[in-house]
Amino acid sequence: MIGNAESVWITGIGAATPVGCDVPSIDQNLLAGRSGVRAVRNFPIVDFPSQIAGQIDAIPCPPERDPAVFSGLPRLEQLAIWCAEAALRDAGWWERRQEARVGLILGLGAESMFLWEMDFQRGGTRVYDPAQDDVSTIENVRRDLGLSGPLLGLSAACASGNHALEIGRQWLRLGLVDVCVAGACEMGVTPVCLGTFGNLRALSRRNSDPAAASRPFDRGRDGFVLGEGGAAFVLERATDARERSAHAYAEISGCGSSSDAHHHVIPSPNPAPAISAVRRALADARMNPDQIDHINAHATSTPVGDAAEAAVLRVVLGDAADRIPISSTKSMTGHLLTAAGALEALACITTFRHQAIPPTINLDDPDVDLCLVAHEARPHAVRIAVSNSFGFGGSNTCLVLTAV
Amino acid sequence: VTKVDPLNTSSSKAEPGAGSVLEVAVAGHAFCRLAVDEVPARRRRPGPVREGTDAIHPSLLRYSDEQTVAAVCSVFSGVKELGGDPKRFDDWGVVAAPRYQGRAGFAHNLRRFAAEGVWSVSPHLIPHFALHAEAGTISLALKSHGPNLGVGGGLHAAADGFLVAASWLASGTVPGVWLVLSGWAPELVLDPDGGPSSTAECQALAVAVVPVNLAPEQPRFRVLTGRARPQEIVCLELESLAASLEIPGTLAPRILVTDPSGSLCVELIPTPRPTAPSAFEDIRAHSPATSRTPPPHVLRSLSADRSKAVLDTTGDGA
Repeated sequence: MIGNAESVWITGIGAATPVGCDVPSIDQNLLAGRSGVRAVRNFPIVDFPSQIAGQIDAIPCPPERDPAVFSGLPRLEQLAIWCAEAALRDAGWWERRQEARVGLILGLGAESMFLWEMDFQRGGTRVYDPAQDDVSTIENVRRDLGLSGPLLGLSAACASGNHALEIGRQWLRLGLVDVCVAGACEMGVTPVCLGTFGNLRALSRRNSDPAAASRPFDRGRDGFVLGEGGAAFVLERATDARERSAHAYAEISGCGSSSDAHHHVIPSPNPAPAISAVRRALADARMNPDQIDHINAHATSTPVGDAAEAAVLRVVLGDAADRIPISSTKSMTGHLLTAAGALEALACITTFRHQAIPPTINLDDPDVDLCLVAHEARPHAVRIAVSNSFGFGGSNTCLVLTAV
Repeated sequence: VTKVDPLNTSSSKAEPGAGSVLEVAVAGHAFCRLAVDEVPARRRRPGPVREGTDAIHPSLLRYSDEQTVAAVCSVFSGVKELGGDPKRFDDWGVVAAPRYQGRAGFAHNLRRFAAEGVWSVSPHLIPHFALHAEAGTISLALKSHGPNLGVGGGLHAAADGFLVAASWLASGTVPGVWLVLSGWAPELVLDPDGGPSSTAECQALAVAVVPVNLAPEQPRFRVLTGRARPQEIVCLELESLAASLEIPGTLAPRILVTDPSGSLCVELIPTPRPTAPSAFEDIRAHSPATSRTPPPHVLRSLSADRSKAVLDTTGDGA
């Protein structure tokens, strides 16, 4: 039997984001404080309240594939295939993937909406006819990659990525899989998605200065910036990874989750549920706040959300909040919604690899009392990093990663 | 939760054909079916809550997809079956597996966007029609603080729901899970104006699942992964799933759902093995397996005049 204390490591990473489509580029751009936010140009935008986003121009075609065939797939499917295949290649499992039970877990929060909208724009009738929806995106990805383990598409809105990593760890510990690809993907920069968030009055309207629009923890913020992209991770039991001498990026040390039960969209003014999610993650990791070296905040650049998270961190960290460097990489990437947690887990691994913390750019006038890393990356010894992700539906999640 | 490992899969060197098994107990369940013209009333009053507990806010379901309305109705009926106090489930998880949620509302918004532009797009699409929405709304309705998660979303969503609920329980993430499966029967097909082209009912099945040791005499779900099972695809309709839970004891497990790859299979074991007395007495007392009264949690109030049915496709909860 596999015990619940079995360590699970991240041994491979694949990603496509507004700041790069490979890990070295993403690391470099995050640490350089480069924004991936710019004006939306791939559809008419003149009437939209928010006209900016963190975007991916073209999702790279994985090696040994026909680019014409690949580019004909739905973009969400391209993204998921790119991320998962790149992660398997990075981990050294790609050529051997059929020798093991490889599970697949992806946060895919608005898969149907994306597919229906793209089809409708081309004059299709998919939204009217369920017979055209008989195979899901994740099943298509599984078939394409030739994986034999269980698969799961999930959503806890913007907290999805952390849930995917937690369930992947569970599957490994329960012996349901030998290897698990877990992460999240989002292609939310579409006319209807940009329109619905804009009409919700959730998005920044700083259209004249895209790179300065995402301003977590800054008094001048006016909403979040939509982003698109994804990240996938290969998870393995530590004993197995050691046995094959695999390179490990990090251990998934702790996960915690809870629900606000307050509102569909607005974070709870009572911080207790979010506090419990963070504390559960720390307890799961058998750590106390003093041991944390860095926190990647959820901080989306909305006044209510940023303030709520700051209050949570103050309570959980106590005096340690004065010294633990905190950053929000959404200032550079925009908010990847379903995929935010996955990208921010990658940003935590960036801190391990480079012993430096990416900055929160545009942080000219902080309005919270935290140890924020503003404008420029900060060299810092990081062994333990925490990533918060909160989402619509009142979902609160926290992930603790430890350098291996 | 009982985890058995008949094929010795704990080794990382297991063959690809190896499999694993998780078992969880069904503490209770409730099935809800709503005709289209019943949905507006249920939005305002989704179900019974025990006297003395907080009522839900009347606007909670105002913008929700029809499947979410049915899901909340089914959970409230399930809560009533299990004693009526939603506070009891404060730390339970919620796993919701809708099937093609939001189709009608999204179709309406696509047409409006095409005709009128961005200002016509409802701001409620993501909060109420995306995959997380049903689970989040159930969590709100119950005022529960355990994690909530939407899974699947497509034809085989039920398999995903069973797998996550069993994984959470086996890992000790939560003490119990409200697993809610929802969809249209028959599947909702829209005409070019966005209206339903056939008579359809919105259905939801809420199943309270707990570790086996807390309800040892209850029916069980057995979730099998790997290639140990036959690969035929099974996907019972929600009504059939609900009916399976009402069948008196038999020793034969019944396959309820599989995933399309054949790597996952969910079986119902109607009669569990004899075990020690349950520590979950009140749940057992109300369970379908021991109840001899007609199942009151089956909501069936079909409209006599379906021609008057109007589906809210606005996304504005009109």
